[in-house]
Amino acid sequence: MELEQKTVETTSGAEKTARTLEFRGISKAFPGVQALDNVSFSAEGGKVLALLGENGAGKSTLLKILSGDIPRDEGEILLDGEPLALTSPNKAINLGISVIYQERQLIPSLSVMENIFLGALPVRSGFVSYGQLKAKTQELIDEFGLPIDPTVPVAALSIAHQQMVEIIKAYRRNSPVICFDEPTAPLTDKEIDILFNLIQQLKEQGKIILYVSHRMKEIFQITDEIVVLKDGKFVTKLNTSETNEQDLIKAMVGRDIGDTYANLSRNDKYGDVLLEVNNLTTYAVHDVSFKLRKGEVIGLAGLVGAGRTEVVRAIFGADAVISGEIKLEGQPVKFASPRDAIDAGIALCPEDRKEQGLVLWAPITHNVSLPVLKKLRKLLFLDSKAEDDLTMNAINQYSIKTPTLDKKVLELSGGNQQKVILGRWTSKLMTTKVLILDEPTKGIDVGTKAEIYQMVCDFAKQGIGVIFISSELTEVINVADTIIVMHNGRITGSVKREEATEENVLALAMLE
Amino acid sequence: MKQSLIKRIINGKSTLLIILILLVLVLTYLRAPNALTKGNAQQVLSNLCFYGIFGVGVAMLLMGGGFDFATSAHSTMSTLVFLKVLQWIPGIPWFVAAVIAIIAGALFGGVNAFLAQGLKLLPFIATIGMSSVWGGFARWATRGNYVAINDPGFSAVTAKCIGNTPIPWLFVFVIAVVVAYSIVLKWTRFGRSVLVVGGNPAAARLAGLNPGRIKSILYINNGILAAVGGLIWSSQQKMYNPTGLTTLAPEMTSLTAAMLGGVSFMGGSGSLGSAFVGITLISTLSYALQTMMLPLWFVTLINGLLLVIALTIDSFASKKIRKSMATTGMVMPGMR
Repeated sequence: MELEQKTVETTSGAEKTARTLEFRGISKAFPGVQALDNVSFSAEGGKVLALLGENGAGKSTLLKILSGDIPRDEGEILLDGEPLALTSPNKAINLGISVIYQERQLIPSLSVMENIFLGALPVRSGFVSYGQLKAKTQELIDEFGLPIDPTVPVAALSIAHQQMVEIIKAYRRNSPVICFDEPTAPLTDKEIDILFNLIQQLKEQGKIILYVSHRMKEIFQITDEIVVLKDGKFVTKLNTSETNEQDLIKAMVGRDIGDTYANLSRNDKYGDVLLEVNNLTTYAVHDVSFKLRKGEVIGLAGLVGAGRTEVVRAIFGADAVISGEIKLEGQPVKFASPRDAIDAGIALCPEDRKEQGLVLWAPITHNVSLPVLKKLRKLLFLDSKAEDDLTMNAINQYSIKTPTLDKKVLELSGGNQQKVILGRWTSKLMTTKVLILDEPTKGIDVGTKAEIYQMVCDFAKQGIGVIFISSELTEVINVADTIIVMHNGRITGSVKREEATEENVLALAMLE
Repeated sequence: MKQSLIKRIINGKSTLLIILILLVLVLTYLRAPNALTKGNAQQVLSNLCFYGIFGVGVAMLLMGGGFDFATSAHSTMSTLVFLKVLQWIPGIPWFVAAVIAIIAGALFGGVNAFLAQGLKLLPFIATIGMSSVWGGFARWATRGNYVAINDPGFSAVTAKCIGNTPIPWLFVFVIAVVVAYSIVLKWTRFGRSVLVVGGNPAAARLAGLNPGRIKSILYINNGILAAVGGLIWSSQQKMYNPTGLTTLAPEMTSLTAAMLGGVSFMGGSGSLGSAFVGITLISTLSYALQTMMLPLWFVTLINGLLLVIALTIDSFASKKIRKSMATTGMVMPGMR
């Protein structure tokens, strides 16, 4: 409490001169990896600074050190020239550092006002003064012009509004430094606009804002400066207005990947109709019909919650079909479980790698062989040599970076984890005809993204029909041959790649 | 990368546990040099026969991401079935009655499988409830009385030792069971499925496995082994005891042992060999404490302490995985 008060005073005193946050020679090693190597740069108040880099570049480690979550090995962090003793998250908060993570740090059952003033509830004669609490919270909410009721529980708010609450909480603490870690990942475009407005306001108040994101468009939209990290090292600091996407990608990956999409080697010969969906209706989608041909890549576009995932889950036998018909190679099929779908040649890489795709604790081998255990039987036992071969093939085919076959997938990077799942569905023991990829590039670095796009095209060349779901419009309209757009559980339109633009797809996605 | 069979069954964690066992033995010798007798050794090994069988069921279920609080109640109920069959059908050979009791054990396990997987109740709470149901029934059946089981053949099974050694023949059988289950776990499709389902049931389902079926099998298996354990126990005690096992709560001891041996409370990992070494440590320790004339409450206290220590170790070991799944927060096995 006392510390917080002090922070408030110093802030108001130093409002006029721009504040600075300086990283000086920060190093951090984890067993086997130098996560950060002598990183130095500084950030100024009143500006939004983007931290950019591939997965594993060291952005998260840097944020964790700044938020007091993990100790640094070497170096100093100075706020207005004063070294900060960031020994614990609590200490960091009291020193004026707020980090807004993708995962909400709110207590869902408590009200908005209680969450915002948690740890600093106004007290009158020993009891919490709810009147005062409500008034104070309302004041803050009005300052940002948000339509949030201070008395409702946080759980009742949309994801975007929950994030706003978290930002207001940071603002209430009067933190001079506010960091955002991939804040837009769970948000819709409309919500992103609200968020950016808020960030703009914080910026005008002279806050030091660090912004981590993989989305190029946003970086150009909201940030003033960009720091690029690569393999734990500082690469460069640029003014956003003086650079472009190509140069940034070049700095991030250390090589020129040119125009990712133009360089894709695509499949141009479609075969017969492979999968036909007629009037599919489930608890979440209505009357969905489309056809997928051999060698075709269909993109499913739409806002989060439009029903894309639910369509493919129903096709895969993971959700119950209420009515409608699914035909595979002309034959009507009914899948009671994913097992049936897999046996028929349908494979699904689920939306959430860690929660639904992988057994994190298990080695790569176990994760690759999962759907084909039956075929790996030798007498009563599993043929572990065949399993190793299968895994070795996947590792070679997709250049998965790992020292051994039995490394736990937990220890792999996001991109390599995704490749393990691809390896699972395309091993020689699988006869995958339809491959469904649900957000395969989520949280994956630019270099690996490009690799995955090429893999999608390669699958199509082999005659596989691919359904590609992505929330990144640019990606889906450039990789897929046909883009099917969904809104509110229904298909609102279908566009060929040649005719697709972000504007016309977005218009269909937001159709009211 | 390739490990020997023995090394794979008993992993690194057991080395520490074996050292602890030796330490307990040395300390016992120093405090009470007369305690290391053949009789006491036989006691410890007999005790291990029960816990070995019982613990395999508990550990397998734990690895598959489940837990059954009613396991000792299943033992008691199966023994009751055994007793009643012997009483109702005079002259029936004891092993036929035993087979019937084991089938009953499978049914009791099946009831919990139905509650947890069929009705999708919270396994933790549902099995606590069933434990109480069967516990009450077991007492009512004999009006709370102990009933002697006087069948010389039945008692001999657990009493006979190899030649002049203190090792019961049954112990050899128990070791064989542990090894057999270890082989199933490490080298068969079913064993792999258990670990995968325990590690991440959602991913297992989307990769074509049937988590509900595999967990159900584990509940039933737990019931079967609980029945075998119950029979061993009543053969050693030569009676049906309606409250003995529920008071002893061997499922908690087995849980401690499994976790000491590296079976995670989050499911998906561990080895039966190490769990068995864990149970050996606990058995030896309790017996050592008793021979030092320490009261029973002290033994209970130590066992509780061990459970908390094991849980602490597990929590640290799984911190990493929980952190990486921080979005929704993982649920513990009995809770999903």
